[in-house]
Amino acid sequence: MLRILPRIVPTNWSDEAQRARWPDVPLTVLTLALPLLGLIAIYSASIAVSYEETGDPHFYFRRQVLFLVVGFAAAFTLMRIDYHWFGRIQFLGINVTFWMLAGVIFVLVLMAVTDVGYVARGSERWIRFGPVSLQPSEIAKPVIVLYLAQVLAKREEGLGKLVYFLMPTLMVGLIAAIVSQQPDLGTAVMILLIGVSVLVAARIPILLLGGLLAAGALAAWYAILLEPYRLQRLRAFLDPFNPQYQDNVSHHIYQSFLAFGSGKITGVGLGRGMQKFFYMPEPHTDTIYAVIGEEVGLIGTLALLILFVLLAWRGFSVAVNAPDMFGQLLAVGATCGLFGQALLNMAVVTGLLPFTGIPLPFISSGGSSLLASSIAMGLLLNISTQTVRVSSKNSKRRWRVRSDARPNS
Amino acid sequence: MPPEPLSKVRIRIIQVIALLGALAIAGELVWLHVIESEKFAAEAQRQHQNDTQIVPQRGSILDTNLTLLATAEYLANIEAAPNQLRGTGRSAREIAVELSELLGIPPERLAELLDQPDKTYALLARGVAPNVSDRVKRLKSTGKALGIFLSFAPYRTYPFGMLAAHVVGFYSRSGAGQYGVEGYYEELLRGSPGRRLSSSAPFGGEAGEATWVLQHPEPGADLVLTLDSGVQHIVERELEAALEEHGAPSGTIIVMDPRTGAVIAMASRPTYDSNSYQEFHSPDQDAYANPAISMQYEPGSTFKLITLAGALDAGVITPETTFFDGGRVEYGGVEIKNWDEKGHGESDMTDLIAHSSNVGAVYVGSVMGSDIFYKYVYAFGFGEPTGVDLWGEIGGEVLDPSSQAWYPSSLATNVFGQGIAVTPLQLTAAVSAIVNDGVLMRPYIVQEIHSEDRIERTEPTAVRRVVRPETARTLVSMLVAASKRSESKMHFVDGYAIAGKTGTASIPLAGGGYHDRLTIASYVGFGPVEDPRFVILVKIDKPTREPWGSLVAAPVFRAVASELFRYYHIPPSTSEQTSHQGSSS
Repeated sequence: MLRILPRIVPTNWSDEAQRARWPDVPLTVLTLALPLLGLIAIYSASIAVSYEETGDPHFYFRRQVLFLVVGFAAAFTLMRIDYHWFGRIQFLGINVTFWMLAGVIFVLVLMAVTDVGYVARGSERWIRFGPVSLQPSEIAKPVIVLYLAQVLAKREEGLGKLVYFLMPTLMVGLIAAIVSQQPDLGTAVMILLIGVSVLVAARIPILLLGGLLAAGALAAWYAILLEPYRLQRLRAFLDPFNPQYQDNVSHHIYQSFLAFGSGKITGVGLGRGMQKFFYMPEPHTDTIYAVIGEEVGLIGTLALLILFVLLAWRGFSVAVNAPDMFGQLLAVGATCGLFGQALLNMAVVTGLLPFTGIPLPFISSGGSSLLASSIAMGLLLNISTQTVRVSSKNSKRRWRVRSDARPNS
Repeated sequence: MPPEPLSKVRIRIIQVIALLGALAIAGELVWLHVIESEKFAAEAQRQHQNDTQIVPQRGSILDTNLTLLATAEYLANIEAAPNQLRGTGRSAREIAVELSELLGIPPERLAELLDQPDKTYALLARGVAPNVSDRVKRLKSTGKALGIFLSFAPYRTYPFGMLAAHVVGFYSRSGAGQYGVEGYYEELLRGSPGRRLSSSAPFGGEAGEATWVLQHPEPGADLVLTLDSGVQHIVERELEAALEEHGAPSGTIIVMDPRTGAVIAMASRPTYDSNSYQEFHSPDQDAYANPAISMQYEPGSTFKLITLAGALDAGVITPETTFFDGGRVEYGGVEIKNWDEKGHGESDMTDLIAHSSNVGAVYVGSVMGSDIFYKYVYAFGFGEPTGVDLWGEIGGEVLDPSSQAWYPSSLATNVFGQGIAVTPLQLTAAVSAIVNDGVLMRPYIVQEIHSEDRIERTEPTAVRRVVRPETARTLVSMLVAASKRSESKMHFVDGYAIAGKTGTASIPLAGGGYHDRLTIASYVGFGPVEDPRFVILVKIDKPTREPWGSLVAAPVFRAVASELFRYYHIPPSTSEQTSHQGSSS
C-alpha cells in the first residue's frame, strides 16, 4: 500500500472495507487543475490592479503562487486524515469540531466588538497575524460543515426532532448574522446555504425548514433595510439598464456584461481583455469570471462551469456512496459549499442574482478563500477513499456503498 | 456507534437543484456571450476608446539664435479624491499637514479641500515644480498619500513675455495654441497624444498617474523662427518710443529679409504678455489679432512704388518721362490734390517719388490704364493673403473694374494708395519683391521644424516674378536718387546708404469719407542700398503731434536701420558705391 493513502481507518470495518483506496480521480484532478487555472486567470486579471496598488504588476500573482502551495498542502493533509477522526477527538469531553466552531465564533465576535479586524473596502473582514491576514468568515465555512455533520450524524437518542435540529440551526444563523454585520452579505448567504444543505440532507422536517427559511428571509430583509446600499443594489439588479444606477451599483453588473459580450464565443485572447483596467471592480477576485469571459469567451466560461459541474457530480457521488452519515453530511456540505459558491459567484457576475461580493472558489485571488476551498476538497477526497466499490460486473452501478459495509444490516 | 443508513433522496434533490442552477448559468452565458454580445462589445469598445489621453510634451518655440521664446514644461497638477480618504486610516488633517510642507499651501486650506467626503475631485495645486511632484510621488509610494494623485500636463512659459507676443501667440487655458505661431502650428506643437488606461477610468478605486501605457505620446515639434529676438527687441523699443513721442495709440514695424521673405522682426503695439494673455483687454474686436497680418489699412503714398514698378515694367513710362505737376488734377470726375496742395511744375518720375506727387501718380495711372495697373497690383500679392505661416492672416481689399463698387475715379486714388486696403505684411513683401530684383517671396516665420526624428528646414519660396530685374533695379535707383532730392535727407544714416518711401494715408471712416485730421504715417525702406539686407516697414497709426510719414515714421525707420547695421556688423557703405548706385539708372 502506498504511503500517501490514509492511515487512519475505522477499526470495526470488515477487512475489505478497511483497505483504503485511491481518492476519486476526477476530484483529485480538479483539486490540482482548478487552482492552476485560477493562477492563469489571476495573472491576467490582477495585472492592472496589482500595479496600481503595489507598483508590481505581478504581486497578486506571486502571492497566489504562495497561497497555492499552502492550499495544496491543506488539501493533501485533510485527504490523509480520516474524517472520522473529527468525530472522535474530544477536549474536555467536548468534540473537537465544537471547539473549532467556538474558536471561529470567538474571533468573529471579537472582530465585531473590537477593532482588531482589518478594514478594507468598507468591510471589516480580515484579521492580521503578523504578516498573514486571514478571513475568519471563509474558514468558518468548512468548520460549520464539520460541526453540523458531526452533531447531526450522532443522532443522539432521546432528543425530540426540534431540539435535535435547533442547536445546529441556531449556530449557523448566529455565524451568518455576525458575518453579515462585517458587512459581508455574500459570505453570510453562503454560510446559510451550506447550513441549509446539510440540514436538508440530514432530513430536517420540511415544516421546520420552512419556518427557518421564513425567519431567515425576514432577517435578510432586515439586513437589506439596515444598509441603504443593499436596497440600492437590489433596485439596480431589478433594473440594470436604468441610467439612474449607472453611476453606482449596477455599473458593476453592467461592466461585467460588457466583458462577457466583448468575449463573444472565443474571447479576445488571454491577457488582452480591457475591462480589468478598472472598469470592473475586483477583477482579480469577485469579478474574475467576467475577466475570463472577456478573454476566453463562451468556451472558457462554459468549460469552467463544466469543471464545477464535474466537481458537483463527483462530490454528490461521494456523498451518496459515503460509508456513513457523518461522511455523507460532510460530503454534502463540502460539495454544496464549493459548487454553491461557484454558482452564486457566476450568477452574480452574469447578473442572475443581485450584486454581492463573493469569490469564485479556487479561481479568485485570495488566500483565505483558497484555504477554505482546499480544506473542503481535502475532506471530500478523504471521504472518496472510503466509499466502497462494488467490483462485481453484474451490478449496474459502478459505485455504491457495499451492503456489507453496514454492520447493522 | 456505527452510523445509520441515510436516505439518498434528499441528496439527489439537492443535486438536481444544483444542476438546474448550472443550466441557468449556462443559459445566461449564452445570452451574454452570443445573443447580446454585439451590443455589449460595441459599448465596451466605445468605453475603452474614451480612455485617458497622455498629453504629449508640447514643442518649444525658439528664435533664430535658439533663444527660447516659449518653453514647454511638463508639470504636475496635484489632485485629490477626497471620497477615497475614508478607510485609509489617515485623516484629511494628517495628509493636509504632510502636503502643505511640500506644496507651500497652508494646511488649513488643504484640509478644507480634503475634508469633503462626498467629493470625488479636488484640485490642490497647479503646475508644481518637478522636485515637488517627485516628493509627492515618493509620499504616495510609501502609502502615506492615498487618494492624492498627480496629473501631468504641458505648461507653457514665455520667458520674454511681451516680446513678439503677436508672432508667438499663446497657449490658452483650454489647452490649445492660439494666434501667431502657436495657433498656426498647433498640430505640430501639440504632437500626438498617447493612450493610457488608468484608474481615472470610470470606476477606479485608486485613480492615479500613468498606469498602463497603451501608446506612447509623440512629443510636439520644436520650432525655430526666422525671428531674431535681438532685432525684435530693438524694433519694439523704437516703436514704443515713437508712439510715445507722437502720441499715437498703435503702430506696427516689420523687418524682412527681402532675398528670402524671412520675417526678422514683427512688432505691434498695443500688445499683451503671452503668459497672462487673459489680462489684456482691448477695445478692438479681436484683441489678440496680429495687426501686421490681420488688420488692413489704406497704404497711401508708399503704394506709389507699386504703381511705378508696374508702369516701368509695362514700358509705358521711363524714369525720364515727364509730366506737369500743377498741384491738382481732375480725373474720372474727381479732383486729386497733392498732399501739400503745391505744384512742382515740370517733373520727371524721380521728382514724383521725391515730392510724393499725387498728380504724378494719377498721370502714371492714366497712361497705363486700369488693366495694367490691377494686373501688377495682384501680381505683387495684394488682395490675397501672402501665405505667411501665422494664424489669422487676411487678404486685404482690392476693388478692380470687375467690381460694382469700382468707378473710373477709383483708379486715380488707388494709384497713390487710397481706396485700396492692404496688410502691413503685404506691403513689406511687395517692396521686398522690388528690392529682390522683382521676385516676390513668400513671407515665412518658421525656419526649422525639429521633430523627434528629423529636422525640416523651410526653403525660401518664390511666389512669382512680378517685374523684370531691370525694372526692379531701375526703380531702386530712382528711389535712391529721390531720397537724395527730398528734404528729409533719408539717403544716408551713419555711413550706410538707405532708401525708401514715405506714406501718409487718410483713415477711411465707416460712413464714407475720410478722417479730417488723423492719418496713418508710414515709411517703407531698405538698406544698405548696395546689397539690401532688410526691408523695414514702419507704420504709426493716428499720430497726434504731426500727421506726416516723413516726420513721424521716417525717423523711426532711420533709427531702426542704424541699429540693425550695427547689430549685424554690416560694413558701412562707401560713398562711391552709393553714387554708383545712384547713377546707374
